[in-house]
Amino acid sequence: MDSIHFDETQVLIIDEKLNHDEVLKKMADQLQVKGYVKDSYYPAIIEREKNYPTGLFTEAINVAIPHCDIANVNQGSICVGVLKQPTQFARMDEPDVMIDVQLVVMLALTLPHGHIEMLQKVVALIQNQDVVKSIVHSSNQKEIYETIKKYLL
Amino acid sequence: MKKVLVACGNGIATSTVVASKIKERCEKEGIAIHVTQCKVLEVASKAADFDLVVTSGKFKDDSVSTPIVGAIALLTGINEEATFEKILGYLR
Repeated sequence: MDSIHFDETQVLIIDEKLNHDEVLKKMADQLQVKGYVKDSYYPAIIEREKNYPTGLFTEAINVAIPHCDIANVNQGSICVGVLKQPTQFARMDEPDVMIDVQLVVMLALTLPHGHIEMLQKVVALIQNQDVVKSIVHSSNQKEIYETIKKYLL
Repeated sequence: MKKVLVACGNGIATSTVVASKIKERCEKEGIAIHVTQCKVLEVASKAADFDLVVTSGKFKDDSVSTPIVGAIALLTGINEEATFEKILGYLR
């Protein structure tokens, strides 16, 4: 498995109320600035969310895992967004239903059927609501980064 | 050997997680299966060749006669066991 780029600057704590597209733009920009994704990444993410939304309803803190085709990615990477004011995403399993999301894990994948370990770890993280809670309640970028790193890398 | 088609938006990300969880569970249960991944858009044209279709997102197409199970639970962990049982029920 090739490595996934992830450092502290890829944890965004967003205090202001942003809408769905604004959150995704901010996160995609962070990956683009580092050269991990192409110009086409953000529009592809928006298009994907329209057709196949990625909000996961967990009965506690809801999470979204936006991602898009590997053609838009230069290097495997992730960006984590902690939304202090929840933003609405459509549910993956019920696209007509909107849910309040507080944690966004944006995935930039490069290998078809690849990065599976990382993806499985993202899913394991989402399923561990105690950890998700500790992440969304923290305002310390380094602390959030260390927590997520422990789970994902 | 039963054949399972696992689909998600682009046939890469969430379907990989779902597929590997199904494979792992079937291995544990001693059920031999063959898993193929595809895009949701391809399900209607491919489903006839499979015993079961599993999708991470919503999928409904009345032209598909193969049983379809929604597997969001394998991503969220909510009612995961019930979903596994449903899937295994078609594969045993």
